Amino acid sequence: MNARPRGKMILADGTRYEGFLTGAAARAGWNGPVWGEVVFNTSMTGYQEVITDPSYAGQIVVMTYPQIGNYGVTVDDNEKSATAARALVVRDLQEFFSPGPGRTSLEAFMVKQSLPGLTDVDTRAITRRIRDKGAVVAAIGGADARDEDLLELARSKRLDRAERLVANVSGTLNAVHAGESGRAAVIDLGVKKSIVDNVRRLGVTTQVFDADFRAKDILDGGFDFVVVSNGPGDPADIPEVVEQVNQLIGRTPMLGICLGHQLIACALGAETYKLKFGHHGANQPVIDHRTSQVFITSQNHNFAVSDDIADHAGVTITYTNAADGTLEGFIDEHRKIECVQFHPEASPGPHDCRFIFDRFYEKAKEWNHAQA
Amino acid sequence: MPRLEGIRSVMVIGSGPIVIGQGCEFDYSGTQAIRALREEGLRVVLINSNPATIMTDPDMADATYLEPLTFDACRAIIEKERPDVLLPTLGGQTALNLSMELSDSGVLEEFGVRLIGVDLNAIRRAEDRSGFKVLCEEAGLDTPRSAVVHSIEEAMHALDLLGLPAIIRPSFTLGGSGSGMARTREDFVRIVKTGLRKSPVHEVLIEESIEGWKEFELEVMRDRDGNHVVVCSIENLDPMGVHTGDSITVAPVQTLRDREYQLMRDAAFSIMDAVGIWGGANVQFAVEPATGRMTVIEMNPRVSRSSALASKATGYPIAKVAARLALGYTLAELPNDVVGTIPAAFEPSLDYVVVKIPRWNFEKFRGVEDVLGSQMQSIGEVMALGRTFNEALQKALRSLESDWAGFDTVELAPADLERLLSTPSSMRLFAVKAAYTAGLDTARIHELSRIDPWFLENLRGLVEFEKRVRAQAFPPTREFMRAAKRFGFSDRQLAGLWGVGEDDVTAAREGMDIHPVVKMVDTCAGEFEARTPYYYIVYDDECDVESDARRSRQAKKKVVILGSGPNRIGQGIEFDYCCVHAAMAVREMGCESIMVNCNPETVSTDFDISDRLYFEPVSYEHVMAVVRKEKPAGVIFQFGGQTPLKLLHRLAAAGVTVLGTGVESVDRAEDRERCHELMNELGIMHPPCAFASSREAAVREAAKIGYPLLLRPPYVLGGRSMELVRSEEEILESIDSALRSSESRALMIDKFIEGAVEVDVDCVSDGENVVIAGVMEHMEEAGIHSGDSSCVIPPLALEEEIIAEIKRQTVRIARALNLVGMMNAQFAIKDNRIYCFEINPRASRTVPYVSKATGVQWVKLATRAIMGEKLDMQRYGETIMPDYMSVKVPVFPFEKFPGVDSILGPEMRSTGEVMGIGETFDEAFIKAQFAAGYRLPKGAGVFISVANRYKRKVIFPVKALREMGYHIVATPGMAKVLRSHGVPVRVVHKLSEGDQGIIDMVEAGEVHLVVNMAWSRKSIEDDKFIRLAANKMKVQCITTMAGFHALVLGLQTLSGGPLHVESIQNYNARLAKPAARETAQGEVRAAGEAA
Repeated sequence: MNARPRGKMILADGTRYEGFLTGAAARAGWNGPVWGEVVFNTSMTGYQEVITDPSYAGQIVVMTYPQIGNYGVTVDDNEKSATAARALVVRDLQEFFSPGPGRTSLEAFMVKQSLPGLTDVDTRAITRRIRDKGAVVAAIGGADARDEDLLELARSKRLDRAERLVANVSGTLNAVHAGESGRAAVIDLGVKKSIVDNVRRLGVTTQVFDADFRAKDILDGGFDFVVVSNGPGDPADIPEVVEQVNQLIGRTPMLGICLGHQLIACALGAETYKLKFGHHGANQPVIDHRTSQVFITSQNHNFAVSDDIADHAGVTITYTNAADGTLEGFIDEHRKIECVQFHPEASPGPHDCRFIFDRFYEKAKEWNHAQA
Repeated sequence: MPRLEGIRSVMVIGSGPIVIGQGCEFDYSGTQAIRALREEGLRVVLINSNPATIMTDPDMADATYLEPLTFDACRAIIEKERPDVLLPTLGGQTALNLSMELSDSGVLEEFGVRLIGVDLNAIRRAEDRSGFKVLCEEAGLDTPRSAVVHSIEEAMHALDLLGLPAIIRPSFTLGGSGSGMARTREDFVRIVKTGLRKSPVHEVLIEESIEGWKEFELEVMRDRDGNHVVVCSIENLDPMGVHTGDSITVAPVQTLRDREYQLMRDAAFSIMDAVGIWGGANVQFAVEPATGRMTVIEMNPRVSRSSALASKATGYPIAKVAARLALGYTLAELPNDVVGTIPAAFEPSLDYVVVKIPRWNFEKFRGVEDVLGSQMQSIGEVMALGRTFNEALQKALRSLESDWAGFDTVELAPADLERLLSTPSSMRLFAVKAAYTAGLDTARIHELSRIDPWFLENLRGLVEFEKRVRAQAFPPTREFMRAAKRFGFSDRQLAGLWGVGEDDVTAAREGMDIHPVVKMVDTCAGEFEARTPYYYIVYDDECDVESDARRSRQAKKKVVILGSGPNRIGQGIEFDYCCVHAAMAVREMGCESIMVNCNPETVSTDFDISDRLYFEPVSYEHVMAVVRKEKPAGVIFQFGGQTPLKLLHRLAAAGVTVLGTGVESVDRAEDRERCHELMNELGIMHPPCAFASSREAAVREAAKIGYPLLLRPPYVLGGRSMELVRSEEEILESIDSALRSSESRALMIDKFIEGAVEVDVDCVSDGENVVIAGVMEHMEEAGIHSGDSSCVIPPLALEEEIIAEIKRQTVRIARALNLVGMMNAQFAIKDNRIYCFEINPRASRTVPYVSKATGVQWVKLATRAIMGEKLDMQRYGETIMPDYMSVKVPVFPFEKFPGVDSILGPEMRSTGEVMGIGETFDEAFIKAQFAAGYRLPKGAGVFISVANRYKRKVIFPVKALREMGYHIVATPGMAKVLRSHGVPVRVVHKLSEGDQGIIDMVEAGEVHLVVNMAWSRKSIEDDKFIRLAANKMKVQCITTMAGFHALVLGLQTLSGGPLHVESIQNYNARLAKPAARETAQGEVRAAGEAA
């Protein structure tokens, strides 16, 4: 029995899931309903990193692990100070959390962050639905919301260019962090804090640029390398960013991560496409073709770069997803580009690939040295 | 990278008998690995002394040696088989230790055998406490502060530095044997002394106490290229201080932030790299709750109890993958069997919660306190899957078969509450409930128990919800009912709370359209479409199976097989063996087998064994849910021991089709009175018996029947609470507690036939024809539980006519019962009279042993009969009497319970068994003795103390021992008798009378064998302290004449030459080919045809 108000989620295909509202949605005066694209995430830990990851902007996140909130939230684990996801859907939101240094309640955090939630729903059923039918838009409302209205809302909306997803999440980390030696620029398309942290870990002075950066500013800035960050949505929706990225190619070493990887690929002339339901989790196996090693990676993307990128001169495919064979990374030694679809900064997820930052930095220094 | 070159044959060492700390999980892992190795086209050579295992089935490995797991036997096998490689990681610590011995002694080098999977030098470091610590430090990891000592003086010095409480762990012992926590200086000295003695290298580790810290385990795989994955993370509900085998554990981890979890994962990988494993390992961690400080506790570089649990919890076949990694494959090259499209280089994601609860048997060991510590004491375990911790926990509690319907209320004295919270025991969970009920808050309960508040709050949620259930009128609203079911409350549990019948709750629930749904264990939380038919049942919205079934429209006939639940004394691996064979037979017949069981250690819960596996409690509601979903042609009840039989009545009444022996027949065999009527009708003698439900009636009936007598509650397995009484005085002493321990408050009083020879018979019937599978002669006289007796096939000393008559009687009983399937009957023979004293209308504990001895897989035959096939009397009509001898010897857990008397009696206490095969009885017996772990070094001291009636009988065996060079020590009376027969004896007093007493000698290691045969209850009591001392010092104690005789004969045989080893395939090949048998004779067969 739940003391929470009743709620429901209706998918654009008409499927209906009943549950109880939680978080911001359980507060009096919640301005629901809310809509978003439904994605499921299979990480068993790291719900806080997920809901604060700006890449989830516009999305309703369904956690496949049924009990969420077990260890509360801790300020250090925020990937951004505000949540980006539109809603969180779980099987069983835990009211109590295991105490630990700095931990507070997830539910209270959701209220504070205005993040609506729906609990007590069969999240496996939703997952199987998305797996079989593909990503879909849905609307979440309270008991008083009419099913037809929610359905209409879900059907009428799309996560398109008009949502200005990147613009909405970019910018809040805009800052310069002093380091010991070397300088790095991070282009924030909704960057995760842990990417900035991993760059800073290299000891470089790190400057974060907004999504509306000018390539010229970066080229004039005397940076040793540029990181193009993760972010939400379809790379095709932001041609203006691709254009700026294009101007950087070959002129500074570039590390692209997730959306950044897709944008650099676009700048090189490659195609991107939407996956059926994407990769969202912390257990995605990726093969490094250079060594045959397998890494377990953290991922969060609905779009992918076409394998055709290998047709472009100078580009070598470095990583492939061991589960579905999709492209996970490429390198262009000549143009000083290294790109990965997965998240080497993890958070949440395995640390298997954190070395990518270090290795890239070493390589960037070599490239720059050769240039000079 | 492809597999290593030059491997054509591989030797695998099993783990031997089921003992505490090393259970049937190694059969599960070993069987899976052997199948994988054979799929690789390799010749597999296996040694394992445990006949109840699936891995020792003759069609599993190419050459299977049911030989003792000793250095000599392994060496002989290696010399004979010349395997290319040895895979040492599948048979627990036993196999790892043996492999090290074989390596150190140069045997592997001598015969050119390579070790695969592990680097022994690295293992040695990881296994040795101090080495492991250094290894961790080199990897930059934190470990508890500690000191390694080799003497009590060094230990006292270490104590000054580390302080109390302190943990003491001997190096290289099994299941934490000999380890303990010291809170006082006295405890400290005592435990260190024992530990030094127990450690084969005379070394113990003394550690800072991290008691009360949170405990975690990771199951990790690593390949030759250094790729790794974590298959499963496990969090212990019981914090540090309770052996992980005795802890309630949960998967995946519940209370770690991702950041903390990932650091743990990194640490586990560092250790794996340092040890250089190609395969799987288990790494244990402790985390200090207040600071988050993480320390590494230990690593097991092999498959383990935890890896079996992890495999079942995730669906990832660790042993199979580990075996292939050992051959040199990489994780990326191997497929994930569950989701064929992804590689084994994958970390399972769970969308359910798994709870494991251990099963203890403290009631079997009088004098043992129910207190848990660093030494494992549980006999078995159950696992349950739910969508929430609460649901999984309640399912697990039901699975235990301790008669709990869920998180029930157990009456506990309020005064004991705080102690029960702070001192871990099998009842702690219930103490938490009692504490909440008594008004304690989470903070206080946490302070006392150190259980993480997250677990406590969930338990509190259950307690609170139960209050609301009680306050609710029946029937409740649909919404309420749905919430209750989603919390994991069973219909039976709710019925109890509402004071209505279970059927009422079920009917109301179904009327509200609330039904359980089936979810799949797919390793990937639904992300990919999986093909593995591994399911669990929960109260949620969508059913995975219906939609899947629609897709594949199964037309095959379905058969549900009910498993035997958790291992416990009296119902162990033998029944799982039977269930596995039944599933195989059903599949071989082209039907679909559906297994229902909840024991994560077993082969039956390997999803490869059946067409569909339901990991569920074997209880009415859950089995009915399976039946409703699957709509099988019927359910087989007779292979899971007493567990399925208990459900027979209700399931049959609910319309379930019973395959095999029906309700009426089972009733007739199990109901004592009806059974006696049956025997009277058939003219079969049975010991006189009576019922009594009061003290007075018992004494009256006892006088009528005449002493000695056996007292027992009706309907029990494993002789629980069974007692032998020899006089009115003794019955008066026992009667009150016996009545109390009987659920029905009634007692059976059986005439005990003193000095009788006991015989077990297993048979198979198709409803008309009856085939005798085996006739086993017990070595111990009547009075010792059949499960605790050694026995031999073929019978050793029974006359032909007696055997024939026993078989005839068995056939008559089976016929009269309209038996379809298996039956076990037990007989006592005295003065050429045959008494039948027990009939079990199901497969029995001895079936695997009989199958191994006779070369016939009887369960498969029985399953075919159950499925309607007629027995091939041409082939099986004549009882198989092998020309070799097979001896089964039980194995006891006394060394884990130092305060328990090891004298055998009518209550079963063995945990497992071993088998020895030889040309002669003596050879087979001594092999079995070695297999059971007994050793008698040359020239050792043997202490003899027997009741007067045995004194004459022991003279010759003692003389023989002396002639073999053993030193005889005896009490004055015994010594006098022996000396008069020319045996030199050292006299020792039982009690220290100024002089050195026997206890001192035992403790000083001067005596290696104690022969102690008591008669009256008084003499049993009088000598108890000797047996206890022997037990404490791991000195074998023989308490039966038969056991003593056999041991001496065996030792004589052994002194004649080296150990001869032979594979079971070769032994079985010696059995006369069925076609070549004469078919015209045999009374049994004639009887069969007459029907």
